[in-house]
Amino acid sequence: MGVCWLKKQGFLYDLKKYRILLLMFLPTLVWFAVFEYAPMAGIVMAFKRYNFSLGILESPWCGLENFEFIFRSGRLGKLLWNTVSINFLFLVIGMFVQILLAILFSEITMRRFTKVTQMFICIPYFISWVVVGSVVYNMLNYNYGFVNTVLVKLGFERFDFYSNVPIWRYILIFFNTWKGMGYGSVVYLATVTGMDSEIYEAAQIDGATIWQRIWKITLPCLKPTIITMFLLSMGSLFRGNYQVFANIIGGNSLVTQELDVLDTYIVGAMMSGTNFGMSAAASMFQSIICFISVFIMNRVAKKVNENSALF
Amino acid sequence: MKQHRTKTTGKIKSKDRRRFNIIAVTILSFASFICLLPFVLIVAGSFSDEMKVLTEGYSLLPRGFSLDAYRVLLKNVDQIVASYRNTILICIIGTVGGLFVDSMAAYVLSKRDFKWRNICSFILYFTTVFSGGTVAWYMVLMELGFRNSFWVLVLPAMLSFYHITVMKSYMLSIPPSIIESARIDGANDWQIYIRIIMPMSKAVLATIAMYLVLQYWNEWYNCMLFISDKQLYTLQYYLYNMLNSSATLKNLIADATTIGLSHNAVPSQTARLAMTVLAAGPLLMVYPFIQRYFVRGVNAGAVKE
Repeated sequence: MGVCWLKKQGFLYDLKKYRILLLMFLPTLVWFAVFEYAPMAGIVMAFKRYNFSLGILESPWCGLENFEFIFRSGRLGKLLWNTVSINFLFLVIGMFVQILLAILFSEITMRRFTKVTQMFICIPYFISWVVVGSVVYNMLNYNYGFVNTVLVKLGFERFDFYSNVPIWRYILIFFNTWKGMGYGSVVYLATVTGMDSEIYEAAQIDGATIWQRIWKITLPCLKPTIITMFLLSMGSLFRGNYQVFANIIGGNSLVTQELDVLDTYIVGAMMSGTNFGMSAAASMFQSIICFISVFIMNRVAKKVNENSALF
Repeated sequence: MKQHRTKTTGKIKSKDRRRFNIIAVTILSFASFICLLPFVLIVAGSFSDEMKVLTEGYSLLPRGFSLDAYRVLLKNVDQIVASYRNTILICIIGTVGGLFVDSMAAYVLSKRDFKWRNICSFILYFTTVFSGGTVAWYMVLMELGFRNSFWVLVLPAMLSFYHITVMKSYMLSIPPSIIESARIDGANDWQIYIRIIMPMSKAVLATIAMYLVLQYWNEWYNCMLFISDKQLYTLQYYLYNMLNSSATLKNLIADATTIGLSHNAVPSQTARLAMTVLAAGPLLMVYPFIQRYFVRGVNAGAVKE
């Protein structure tokens, strides 16, 4: 027995050797087991007819019934299209604005102005989506909203945002961009300032204009970062941010109907308690397409730029 | 922020520079304006006279001046105090706990000679690729008894692969010779972590702490999913309720009549804004002081993200 313990290799020996490290890692391991891996097992919910009094384990199996429901309801196509199209616009427009701001920040020579404006445009990043919801209401409300107050003052008609459904796609994009532009521009600016200043000095000597520096040096240098960020974000195109939709659209059922995305549908059905099976099936469906797209995009990003993928 | 090139840019042809500056100043000023405007409007609106808002709409300066909105909110002072208490508590517990557990994990993963380092890394990494999805996650937590539990506001958001990764790469940049000499002096891993790694990682700890405080202060989603006990509401979720549920507004009207406001002067519009000020105000007040950690954190993490 004793010999076994002292052997220089073997599992028990390692366990003893690394006991402090293992103990230090234990809380993390437990956390990931409970909050990440247990839900992965909980995915079997999609194949069960859930009964609150019986719980996950005891509820009876129902095969693919839940999936049949959701495919037959005919909503899946629209949910998918909304999720992907809105996320794609979030991504492209958000990135464009962030990169534009980063380049302006990097080239402008007025230090104090840069500092102050940078502080201002980062404010929205620090507030919750609930507060954004309050801002939206405050701006767009038909009777008292600021936009309408200004319109009336300038002699125009009031604009009824709340019954104009298509415009909400753009309102979502606007506020999503608004909230993220400060943070994003700081990220890209970090890349720009980290670049080799000798290239710029050389360009200086050759008499390059500002515009040439931006087009011929800054943007090409940013290209790998931009491509990587783009590809990695493309991976999560199927994963919408519930908070954005829930707070900006709020209780407007007309708009919710039209601009429902996978996440709002899933949470809505889950909380209502009536369509539990369907929401479980939709949730599993989303997990799987997310897995596939994240996996593919990580691979592509790795191919494109060997060092840039997450892992 | 450090900007190496500002020294040289002065020499560029001045006409070019001037034209660029005009464009840049215009765009950046406009961006700053649209980021500030909503907050000015909300503060102004919260101090406005409800009757004037109803007839003239919101504006940049308060319409009239009235504290009715705040007075009505303070009718529910118990609820507001409870929400503040919950939000502050989860900020403290979540941030301290998150930093401690995250940094221990980061230390373990930064040890190159740890035999199971790759497996451990993979266990964490895999969760960024695949997840059980909202419904499965919700069900499992419900079955574990998290419904109406204070801890559901703290625990599920405490750790993050991203935070651990940022800390790990920071710790990897600490010179191994320092750690080696401590080991020769007989220090074990726990002592090295507490006495050497933690004090040397103050910068990255401050940054992650800021992210955690931000996240917990703005927490409402888990509260919405799991909490129905009003005593456990967070500040943001209380605001969410005020904005989205008609029941809360009805209570508000009842409260308004008890402090002697006539029925048509009930500050139902301005009270929403006053609550928004209460929910976002404290964080925005410390914002100028914590912003530098934020910029620094981006610089540390940008490469890895």
